[in-house]
Amino acid sequence: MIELNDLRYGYYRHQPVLRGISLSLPEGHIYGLLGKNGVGKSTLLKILCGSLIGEGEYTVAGYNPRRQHPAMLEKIRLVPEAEAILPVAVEDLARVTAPFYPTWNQSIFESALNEFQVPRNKQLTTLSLGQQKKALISLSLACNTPYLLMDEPTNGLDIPSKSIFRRLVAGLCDEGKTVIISTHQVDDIDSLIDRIVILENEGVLLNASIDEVSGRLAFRHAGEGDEVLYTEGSPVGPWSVVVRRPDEPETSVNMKMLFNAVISHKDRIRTLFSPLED
Amino acid sequence: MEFQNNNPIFLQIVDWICDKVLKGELQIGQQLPSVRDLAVQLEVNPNTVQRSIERLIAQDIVVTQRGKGNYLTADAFSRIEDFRRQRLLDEALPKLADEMMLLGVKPADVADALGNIISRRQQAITAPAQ
Repeated sequence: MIELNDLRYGYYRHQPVLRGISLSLPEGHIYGLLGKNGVGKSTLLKILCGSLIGEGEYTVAGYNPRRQHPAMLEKIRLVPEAEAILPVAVEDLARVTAPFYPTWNQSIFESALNEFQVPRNKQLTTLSLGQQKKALISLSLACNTPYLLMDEPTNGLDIPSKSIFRRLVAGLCDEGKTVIISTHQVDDIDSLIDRIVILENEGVLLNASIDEVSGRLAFRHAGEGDEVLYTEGSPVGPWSVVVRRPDEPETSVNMKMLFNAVISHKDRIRTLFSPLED
Repeated sequence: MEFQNNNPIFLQIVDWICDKVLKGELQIGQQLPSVRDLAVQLEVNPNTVQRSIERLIAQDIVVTQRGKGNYLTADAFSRIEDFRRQRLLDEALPKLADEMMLLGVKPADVADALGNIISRRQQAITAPAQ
């Protein structure tokens, strides 16, 4: 369980990035973390794994990340959006990484490298950007930690690799795991996530399961009497996010349109998704 | 699997499994792949697959044998057939009827055209292209 209670953080004293985030993320889910540029998604992930110190109360698996307790650090792994690439081979990196993670799983490491077709014995600095990313994703998946945080993991991956990425993450997720994927590339992961968290600097705009979204909102042509939250053009005519009528069948959730509906109707979304409406 | 129609993903997976039964790729009494294997194959969240399985259980198409996994029930095939035939009548045909009325097309013309399409499809199945 990850719990945040009024989490605040600023890189500069007078320019806070996170201004009071309260959130509770039970395990067993793959969370999509969405938000405009600069709302603090990457900052939040860094705070959760202890590399930045936030204000307010927050815990990961009951531990306070700011203490950097080894028992907590061995349970959490972050794949940053960009990291320093060392002139070492990924198999050597694995040798020095594995001892820190009691959950390390060598066969996940091997099969991820095989599926991604990343050479294990070549210096990372000699690989392409995409290959580097796949090597580092394989390394983090193999840590097999209960908490896995990924910041824009599909950036720079080619189309087949995105598919392999979804398969690997789908195969590794179980009821004991918490996976958080921060991304702008929602199409890459929309079938993979089962909960969506939309963030802005002031707080959380939405924290709901995909089932809750398709229960409350419908994505279709708007008709007379519909409460329309967002509309955009499509090849088959204007397509809208509307408040679902109680008797109509559920539709699939279009993440991009959901995002636009949420940021343009914050208050309406808050009441629609408040627990009282269950 | 490409998810593109406007049904929730969990229902598209229900249809995908039912299609496999109708095509004979999954047999009555056969064990379904595990939730995890299906999730990996379809590149979706295991919880979504679990919801699909629960829907199939509610429709008596699948039954869970404790500690063993999920199996197709003895009358899975006929249940799927009934359900899908009813859906053809309730959903696909009214849409076709609307389009026919819009264009002034007679049922008899459509019946001939449908017959031709079906026989071409059947030929393609029995004599696959080289």
